[in-house]
Amino acid sequence: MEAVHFSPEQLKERFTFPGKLRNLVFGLIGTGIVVLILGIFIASGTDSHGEDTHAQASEQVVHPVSDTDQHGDGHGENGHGGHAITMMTHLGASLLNVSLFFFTIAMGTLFFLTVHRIGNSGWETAIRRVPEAITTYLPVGVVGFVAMFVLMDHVFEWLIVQPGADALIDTKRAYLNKGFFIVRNLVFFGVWIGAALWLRRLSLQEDLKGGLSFFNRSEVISAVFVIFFAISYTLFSIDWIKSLEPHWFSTIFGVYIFAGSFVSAMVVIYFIIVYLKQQGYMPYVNEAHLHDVGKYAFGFTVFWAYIWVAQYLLIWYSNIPEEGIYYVKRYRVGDDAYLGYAAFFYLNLFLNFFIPFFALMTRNAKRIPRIFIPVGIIMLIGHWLDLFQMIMPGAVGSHWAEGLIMNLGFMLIFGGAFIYVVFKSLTKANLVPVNHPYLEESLHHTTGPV
Amino acid sequence: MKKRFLLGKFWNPDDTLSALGKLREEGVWIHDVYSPFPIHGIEPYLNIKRTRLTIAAFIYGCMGALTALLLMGSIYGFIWPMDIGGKPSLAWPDFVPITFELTVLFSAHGMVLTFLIVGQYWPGKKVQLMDERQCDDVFVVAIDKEKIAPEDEGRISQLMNEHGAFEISEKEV
Repeated sequence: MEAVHFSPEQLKERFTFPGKLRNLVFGLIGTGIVVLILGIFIASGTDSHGEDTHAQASEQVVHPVSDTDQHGDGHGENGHGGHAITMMTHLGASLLNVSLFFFTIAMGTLFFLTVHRIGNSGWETAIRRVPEAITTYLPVGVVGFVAMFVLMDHVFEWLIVQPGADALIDTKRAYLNKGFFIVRNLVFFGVWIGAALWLRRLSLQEDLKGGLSFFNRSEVISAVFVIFFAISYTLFSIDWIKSLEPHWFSTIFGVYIFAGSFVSAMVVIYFIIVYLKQQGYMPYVNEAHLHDVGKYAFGFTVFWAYIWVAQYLLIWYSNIPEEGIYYVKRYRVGDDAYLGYAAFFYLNLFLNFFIPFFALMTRNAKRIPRIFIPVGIIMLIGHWLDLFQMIMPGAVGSHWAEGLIMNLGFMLIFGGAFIYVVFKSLTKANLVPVNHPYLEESLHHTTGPV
Repeated sequence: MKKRFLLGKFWNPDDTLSALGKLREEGVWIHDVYSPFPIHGIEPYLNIKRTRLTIAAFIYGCMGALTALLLMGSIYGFIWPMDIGGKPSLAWPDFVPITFELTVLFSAHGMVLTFLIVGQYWPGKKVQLMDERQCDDVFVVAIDKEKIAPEDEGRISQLMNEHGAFEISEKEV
């Protein structure tokens, strides 16, 4: 094979934040704020009796309790069982949707980093700084969830329904209460962010001092993190998404969220590498590295579909009302209470599985950015839609359309912040861990003959 | 159809690779390299064509999926509908796992069989080795004599010698 040699200057090259990107970021955030305010304005206008702005609960856009109430216990399995949906509900649901979208991407990259460290894998060393930079978004992304601690009173059914009104929710109040919810989620965020920043710090120190001690220490941290991650990510996804419909059970839910976040994390890593290479950085990252990231994206779309079917199939087979209602809401056509969700239900499968599965099957599709990027954009939209159709039926019922503009606004603001934080972090260190023990292996990475 | 090969034999992969690099610079067509173990980084020298096994795998996978769907669809839908737990007998969710499994089964077994047939590995096949020691500790570079000019032969042999070949020979296979 041709010898690959890169001078130390090439390896110590740093990314400088381009002015164009800065303009893009400010453009996105600026537009986002305008769109958000517009969205809030429009959503407030649709609150039917908007005369009393102080008591949101009195503004009435009430869920019709439909015949989907299979309990027969009169609680109204359907969404919030008739609670008012206000502008604040839309605001909270949209914020939750967008916060989760970006936060899960960053968590996916953190998992990518740690699991490769434990596996003693070498190929990803040359691109390691990209996922490392994405994990620095985590502390910023938490802002969305902290805001949700305030807005959650308007979104989560178990906070809206009074104690005593719903026997099934009452049995879960020992776990689903606001105090414990906030405490445990703060612990999760703390540990995740702590691990992410610690790993990055060790990696940056390794650049300066060299030696194996940083590598060894990061391996221990990674191993402990992955165990904690498996448990805490499940609880995190149950807390923030599944508990929107507190009657529903799904034991595979955490894995489902993880599958989605890992796929989109791979897509984002791919995009950033392609962008950096286009700007002339990272000459040592070759098609083989892109190919491997692409393989992950391809493989985990299948994993996502696998988990999707696993969840659906078991619920379909057992046919228990508490479980089945989740899908009844999402694909029953002609049910006014959940109008439009059937389209999202099927679109979700196409965006997240059928399109990427067939489009990314060939070798070239993963190696040539021109082919991968359009598919990757579809997959990211799919990830957003996946979260959207998980959150909205439980949070706002059939009124999903009213929050869309706010959702777009949050998307632009968080997207701008995400780009800014990630690329800002990339400027702060070499684009490659120069003293990493596996660097040489990664520079010679190939994926074999055609 | 038998062909004559010019064989350069080496004791280690590093010499083999450096000789291959030199031969490639000279524009010599390498027929194949036989080695006791896979050599990392040898692929660019070997003129390996893009494998069509993946296309075959895709076709086998489609066949598997089709077989599963037709079989289950015809049996549960028309020939012998069964009531299991009150579920409709012709519904897609319970077809998914079996379709998936048969897709994997057909593509995996189809690929293995295709590989064995195309590689001519059938039972009772006489093994033809360039050099018996290629199964032990010798690395053999084979050059098709039809693809080199007769006057170049000496030069190529010398070149391989310079890069550590301990023996140059010819063999008809």
